[in-house]
Amino acid sequence: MPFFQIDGEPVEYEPGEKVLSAVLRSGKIIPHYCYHPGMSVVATCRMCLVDVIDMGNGRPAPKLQTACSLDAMEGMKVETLNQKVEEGQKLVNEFLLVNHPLDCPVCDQSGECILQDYSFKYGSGKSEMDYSKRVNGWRDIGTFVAMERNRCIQCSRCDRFTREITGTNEFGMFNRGHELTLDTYADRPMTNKFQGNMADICPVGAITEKEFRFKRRVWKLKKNYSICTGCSSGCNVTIEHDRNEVFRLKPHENQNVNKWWLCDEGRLTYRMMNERKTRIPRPLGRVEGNLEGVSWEEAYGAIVKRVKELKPFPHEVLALTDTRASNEELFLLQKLLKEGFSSDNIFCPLPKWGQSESDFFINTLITTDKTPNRAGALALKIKGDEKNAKLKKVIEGELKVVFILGNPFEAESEIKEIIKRTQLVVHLGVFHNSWGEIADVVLPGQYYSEKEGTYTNKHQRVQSTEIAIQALRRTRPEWQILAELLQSLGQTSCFDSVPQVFAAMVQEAKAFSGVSFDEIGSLGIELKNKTKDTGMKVLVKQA
Amino acid sequence: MFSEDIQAQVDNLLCRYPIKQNALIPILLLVQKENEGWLTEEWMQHVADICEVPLTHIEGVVTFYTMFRLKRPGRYHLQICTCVPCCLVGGTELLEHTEKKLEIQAGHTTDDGVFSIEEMECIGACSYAPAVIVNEDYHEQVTPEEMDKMIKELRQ
Amino acid sequence: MAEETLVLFKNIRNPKYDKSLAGYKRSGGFKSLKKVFGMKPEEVVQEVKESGLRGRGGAGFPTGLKWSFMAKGTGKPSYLIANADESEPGTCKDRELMLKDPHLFLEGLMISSYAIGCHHAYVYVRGEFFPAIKTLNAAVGELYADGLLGTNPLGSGFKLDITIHTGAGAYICGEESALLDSLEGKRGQPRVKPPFPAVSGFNGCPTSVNNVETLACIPFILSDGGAEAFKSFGPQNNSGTHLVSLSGHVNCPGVYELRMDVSMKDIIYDIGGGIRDGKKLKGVIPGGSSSPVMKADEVDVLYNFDDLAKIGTMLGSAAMMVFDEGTDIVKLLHRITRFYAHESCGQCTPCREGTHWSSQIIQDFLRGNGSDEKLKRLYRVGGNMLGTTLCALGDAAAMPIQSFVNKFPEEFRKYYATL
Repeated sequence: MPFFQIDGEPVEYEPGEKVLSAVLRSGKIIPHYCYHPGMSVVATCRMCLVDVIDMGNGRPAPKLQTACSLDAMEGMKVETLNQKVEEGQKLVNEFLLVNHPLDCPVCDQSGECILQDYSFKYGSGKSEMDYSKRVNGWRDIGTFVAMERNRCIQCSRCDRFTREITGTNEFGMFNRGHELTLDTYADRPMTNKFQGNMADICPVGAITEKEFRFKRRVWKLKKNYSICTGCSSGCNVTIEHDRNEVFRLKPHENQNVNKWWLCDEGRLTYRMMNERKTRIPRPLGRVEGNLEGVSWEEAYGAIVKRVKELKPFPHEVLALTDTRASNEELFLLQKLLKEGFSSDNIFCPLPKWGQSESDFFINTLITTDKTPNRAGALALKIKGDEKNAKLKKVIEGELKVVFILGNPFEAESEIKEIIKRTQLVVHLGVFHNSWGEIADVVLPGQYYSEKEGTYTNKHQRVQSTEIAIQALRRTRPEWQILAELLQSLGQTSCFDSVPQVFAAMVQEAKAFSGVSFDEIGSLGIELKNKTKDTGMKVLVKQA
Repeated sequence: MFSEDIQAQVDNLLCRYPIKQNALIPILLLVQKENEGWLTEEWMQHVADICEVPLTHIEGVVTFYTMFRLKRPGRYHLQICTCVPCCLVGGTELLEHTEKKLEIQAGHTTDDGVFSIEEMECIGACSYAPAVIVNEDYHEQVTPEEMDKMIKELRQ
Repeated sequence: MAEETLVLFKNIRNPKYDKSLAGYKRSGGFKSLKKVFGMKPEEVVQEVKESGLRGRGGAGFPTGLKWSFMAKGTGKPSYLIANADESEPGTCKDRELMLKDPHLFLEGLMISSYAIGCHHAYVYVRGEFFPAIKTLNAAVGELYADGLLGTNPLGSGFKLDITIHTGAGAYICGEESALLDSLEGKRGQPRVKPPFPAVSGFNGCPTSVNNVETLACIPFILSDGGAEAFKSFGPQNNSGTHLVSLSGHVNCPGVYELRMDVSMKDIIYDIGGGIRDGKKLKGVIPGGSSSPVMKADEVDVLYNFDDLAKIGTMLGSAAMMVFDEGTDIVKLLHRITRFYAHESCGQCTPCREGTHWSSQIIQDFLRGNGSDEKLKRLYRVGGNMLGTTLCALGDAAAMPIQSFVNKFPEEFRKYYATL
């Protein structure tokens, strides 16, 4: 690749690339507001001014240039730290603050505000503006975000977002000059499903998430990488939390998955991470018809005892799981059946699913499959079909032991009725649900935000989650519960960590062969042996 | 929504440009002229459909250009230039005179709806300053006395 | 004694001239077009290059050179847009041409279209020019009826359409890329360059935007021996005649066609008949409101691109605004600054905030709240718009502020020194 020099250091660029884009890719910083790599270049904030001392032809540029709109040239020499540039940055920042209210103490963006950071780093520290500032006021502009227009610095990222990214055109630039506003027109609320991104791309506190409003100062938030489990797209997120409470999900850039974006529905899944009322707080066992709190040892002991009494044949054992479980959990459940009972009666629901075909990439991020790991279940060859025909056939025969992982077939009362009659029903789950009501033993699992795991998204990319918050004291991650059950039932395999389970899965499950846990990293890795039919149907193209 | 005549003019405009959006501004001007000098949301939506652009786009355009009006102007819209050459030779005084005469400020319409005043930036008649546009007609080197006479004549 | 040289105004100055197509033809019109149809387009561009014609819109860029930048072989149509969005305060020359001799300009437009291979030319007229729009539409109608527009004019096999497009009131649309956005049916906000219009202009196609007066020069340049004659009219690099819009405190304001070797002094005192009411000259804004102001003792200079540039100002659109000793400089600057604050598109930071802020500071002086500190601040805020904006409007707003403060500091002090 050709290169140019920035402050004396070489930076590689792709032919046709702009200076700012190449510099940012190289990990260096040039301050900027209006530029966003996912949208068109407007070069209007003027913050990314640089001094071109050699345009590649031996001649300097006559005045400061904006790096975002400057074509990179072989042999070009650009300076970003000299006095001329510093003065340029200072003056632009002064102009930006002329009408900015500087209400940082009450602004949610404070702490992650680019205007704040740059003013501190590149600004002058005082303003000579002594007239009253422009007042535009607060507006509720949509289901997910609100707008404090006084804070707007007119970078137009939001305008470009609804034009170029969602194609919904709800935002626009109105009026002109000093009165230019970016807004929805005449209080018309936005309807797009991706409004949260507008809060993300807004460099200041003009557009903020209503959900997060006044909840917590951002510098208190700790961040962990994770995956949005709201649907099968597997958008990369950071879980942002403080004192074991999750406050929001933010998208985490992954060009192979969600680019920079996340839908509002996905953002709201953070609420479940804080859910306590319906959580199963400790192991439960049925004593004289009632579920009562027991210890883990008691629970495992009861299961082992009952299994030994029942001595089920392989066809008398069944495991049901939903596709919200991680790859490792599905794998261990499968292993539990195979090694503990020589059975392969493991089923999950596999309804048809779809996503919209659209000219706008972002629309494809929402799928109708609201589970994060259907592709993982398919890769592990967990049984199932659209109409649950195979499962129904199995439950026609006699059943003695049933394991339920999560909340599968939640609406299938017919299946539940039959399973209710089984002698031993073990339920592993995070929340109380109707399976718990018919279970003999209930083993409390942990939510995504509390445990490690890998998930296979709709494109069969395996991605991992980190532990973000601490789980309830008497719960255990499902992979651990399953590993402990395996051991309790006398199997020798021993798993102490998710990477260990993953390694075994790579050995034993063909679809995962050739993939290593370390390779997943922060960007994920696609399966090498892909399932051909994932049951996807394209939905009607959106206008 | 359009009369036959306007529809014909709109169709003619549309076929003069490679894409429909290009004809947006001339069509809006035409619609505004037909709608007594101002635009309503209903009309803007109609034009949005014709030009195949979102309504927000039209609103952005309409609030950008000074010739589009979102409230009804007077029957006679007095556009008085006070920009540099006109202000050198009495444009500002002419505006003030007219405001006093009609007892309204620039940007407003008389109660009877006959006159409205707009202070204009350069209208390109600088060598013939001060200049005034009444609806679509230019009046050049206008003195306050001539303005009075004009107002009187128009009122009748 | 300075006098007019009639090339563009040859017909207009003829009291018997009839601006109809027939009248234009009688005066020798469309001879050049006929001649051009026998030439190769490259030859036409070459002739224009040789004539030394520089754009009359304000920047003074060589027209032939601009045309030669047009992207070729793109598979897309090429467009020529006549910039008739004349809105720089002080400028009213294009209106004169369009109103009084539309066919001259249109012939120029047609020849130029041929030169750059454009088959549909647009005339972007500012919306307030109602009479000019009517005149142009009527003239284009005549050309279609006569077969000069449409397919195969004069048996040339060339196809050309012309559409008169109306703007809707925005000074910034005189900037060529803003004009293109406006023509496309958008808010007229200047675009990021590159790509330049010659590569990606109207609807992404190669486009040349030329001023009305520039195009009106073309029929003369392409007449027999025209390029040479045009070049001979003025000093080197300042070819041809140009239209000077004279306004302000002169006895005879008007639009005059002059060679570029006439001094400003002669323009004010001979052509313009001197200052009104026997007053003394205080200063001149030489090339539209954006050009740096000149003091009375600086006007003994030739009125052309290069001589004005030498003394730190510019010819711009050749709009001279003359003001006498009685003029309040601060008020005048306030009016100029207000203009730019009103016309700033607002998309880019220094111009959006700077134009308004500087206008507020000047207003402070007018209200008696001036100070040395504020004068410095005004100079600094104005200067901060210089060279930092996306388009030239920031510069246009900055230059008058800096030059007024530089040249008339005592006028500002008058507002607060007595306190």
